[in-house]
Amino acid sequence: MRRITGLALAVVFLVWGCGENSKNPFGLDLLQRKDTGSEKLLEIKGMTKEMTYHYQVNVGRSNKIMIGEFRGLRANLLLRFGDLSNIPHGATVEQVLLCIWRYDDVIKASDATPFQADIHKITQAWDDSSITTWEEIQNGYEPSSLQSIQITPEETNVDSFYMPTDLIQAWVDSTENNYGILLRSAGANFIKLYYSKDSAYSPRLKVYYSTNTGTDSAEVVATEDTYLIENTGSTPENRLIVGAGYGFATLLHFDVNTDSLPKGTTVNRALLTLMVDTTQTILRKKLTFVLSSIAVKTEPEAWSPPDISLDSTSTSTSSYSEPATATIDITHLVQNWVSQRSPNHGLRLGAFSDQTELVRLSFYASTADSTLIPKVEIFYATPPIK
Amino acid sequence: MRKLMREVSIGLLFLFVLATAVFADGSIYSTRAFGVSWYFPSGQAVGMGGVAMSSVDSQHLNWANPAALPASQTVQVSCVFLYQHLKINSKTQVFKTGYANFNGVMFSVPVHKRMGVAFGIQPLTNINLKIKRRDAIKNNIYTKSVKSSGGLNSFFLMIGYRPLKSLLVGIGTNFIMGKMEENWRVDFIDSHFRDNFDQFRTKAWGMNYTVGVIAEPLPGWHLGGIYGFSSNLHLKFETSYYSADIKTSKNATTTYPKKIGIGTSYHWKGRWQVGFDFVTQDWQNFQLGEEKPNETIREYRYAGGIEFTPSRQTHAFYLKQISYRAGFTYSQPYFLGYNGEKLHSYLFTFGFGLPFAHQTGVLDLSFEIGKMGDLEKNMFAENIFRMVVFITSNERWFVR
Repeated sequence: MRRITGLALAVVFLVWGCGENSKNPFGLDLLQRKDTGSEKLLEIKGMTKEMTYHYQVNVGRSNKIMIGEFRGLRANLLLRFGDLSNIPHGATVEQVLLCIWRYDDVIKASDATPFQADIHKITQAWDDSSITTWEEIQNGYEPSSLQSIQITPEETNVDSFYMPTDLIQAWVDSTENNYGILLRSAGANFIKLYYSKDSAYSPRLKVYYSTNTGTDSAEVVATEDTYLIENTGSTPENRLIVGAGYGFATLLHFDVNTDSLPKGTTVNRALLTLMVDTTQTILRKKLTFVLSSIAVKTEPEAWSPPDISLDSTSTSTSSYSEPATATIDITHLVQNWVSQRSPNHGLRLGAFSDQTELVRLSFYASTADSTLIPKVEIFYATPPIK
Repeated sequence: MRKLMREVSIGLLFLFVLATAVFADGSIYSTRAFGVSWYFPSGQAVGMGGVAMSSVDSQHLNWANPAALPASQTVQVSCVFLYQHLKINSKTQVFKTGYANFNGVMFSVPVHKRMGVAFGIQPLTNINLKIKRRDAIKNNIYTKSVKSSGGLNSFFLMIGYRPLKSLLVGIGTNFIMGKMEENWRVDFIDSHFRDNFDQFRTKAWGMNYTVGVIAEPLPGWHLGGIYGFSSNLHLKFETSYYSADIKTSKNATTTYPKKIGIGTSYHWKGRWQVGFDFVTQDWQNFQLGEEKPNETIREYRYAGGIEFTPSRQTHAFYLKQISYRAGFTYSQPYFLGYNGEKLHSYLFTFGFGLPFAHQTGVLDLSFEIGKMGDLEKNMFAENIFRMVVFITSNERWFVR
């Protein structure tokens, strides 16, 4: 048996050695199928419909507050120190310092210079968990400034500002309603971020006071704080915007031709490329801007933002890193449209960052120069048919 | 029993070792219809060009004719291993393919001195072809490939009976089943691209019957034949475009055609055997569902072969115990070539029956060398080399 097995093995391996597989050089046409499918690239330039809209974002529970102005967005800071019980009744307020700790980076260009911020007394009640827009408070403060402070673009750890003692004295004496203060910038070219009361570094007042027994000080922590963005600029023509902090989203609809992309087509990759207007874009050094796209369920003819129905199962995200172009992979969305799993009612582009972060991406619309308009590249493979 | 198991184990181990580095590429014609048909009726028959219709041999299991079963009075286990090497020629290019795998197993028991039963599994057709193309879209490189695989198999149960000393009859039932796949892929190098995977799958199943007869009108001269009844073959066509999440399925029924085989053989002095066979199966009216592929025709197979065994004595010199075989097969496959022309296949065969364990087992080593297709008429011509290994063990289980 051993001899036979050995002999057989020798024969087999001899044969094996003689036979070497080589690559089949013949094409797919050999199979004589009705269609062997093809791999192509479809380029769609411009959108059939597009619009940018603003939506409201409540930032009252964010761990940051901010003040300043940059590229048409002014951040107005609201602070309220509701609990003054640390200061004895009848005490005389001698000096008040506002201490706030810097958060992360400063939103600025290279030419940032210090600006003056006016302190106004707020005359209406507000609640940081519900107040959302500047319009809600723009008539609720005394226009005349109590005092001004200077905000510098330097990345200092903590900023301290003298506060109007009369106002704090009035709050202590309960002769005025304590609705807090508004810090409003004038002519700023940067926005500085600070930690809010919803962080470990609450803004606080250091109140120096005197009583019959002598002088003392007390720390009063902010009980309400928020920032409200005021749109002081105007969006240039032919621009679309996505952003957070002051919410902007853009709806885009482009025609996916089902004649060239039949139902069984595989979308290998679909890229939406946007040409960025860097002069209108607000980016953060320490925060990656993430573009998100989500399929829209509302037909383009019926778009009436912000009431837009979205398909949360069909989303994609992409980090924006290149300065001149933003590209987002929308393969999944386009595949759904091509496969007719969902109708092509367009997509909504938004900023996937924390909605309380102030970021903005401005890009050229389809009415701009043809080299700048949004473009969709679809790499696809049509199905073979047996 | 223990001895039999040991031999079977050695045989299986041997086959397993061979099959571990399996080649898996086959004929250029294997995507036609149900694939290229394979015909390996017994270890003896392969060496003799495929002569099996009238073959009566106590040491070999004859899968082709159930009437041959009572010839053996021992429990037999037979395992088959196949190695195939093809050199495929076109007018412009040449390439080679290799295929190696197990190719069936059969078990037979003599339930009575006049009756034997057998069951087993064997492939009827084989599909194995890969085609690849490399291309790029806007500098994004991808490979497009098609891999066809599968084929029809038969799980069979046969009974043979010897009503008269010179007459053997048999009947077999074949459960035909198969799965044929065609996998289409587009694979991009850039991992950001989603790759394609589309699949066509045909599942087939059905049952048919074969009756066989072998007669010995004169001492040493055998006449044999089989008739395989036509039967319904159920088909299920499945198409899956995975990325597009589209799956379709369609059922159909077709006719698995009848098969007729006749043959004769002559045994001389117990040492020589010569035989001739003719087998045909009419695939001309074969339909795949509602479609008639227009690529199937009547299959013919003519075979002739000779065997010489110098001695049947267990104490003889070993080289004298070996059976030496040679044969020739001409066949017209059941499918047409790619340009619609008929194909012709010519095979020269030779083989050796190597007895072991005092002739209670035999290792049949057979070779087929030949050609299928014509370069001028059929676009492709295949040079065929096949090695077929049968290991058959014979053991008396029920004899005290």
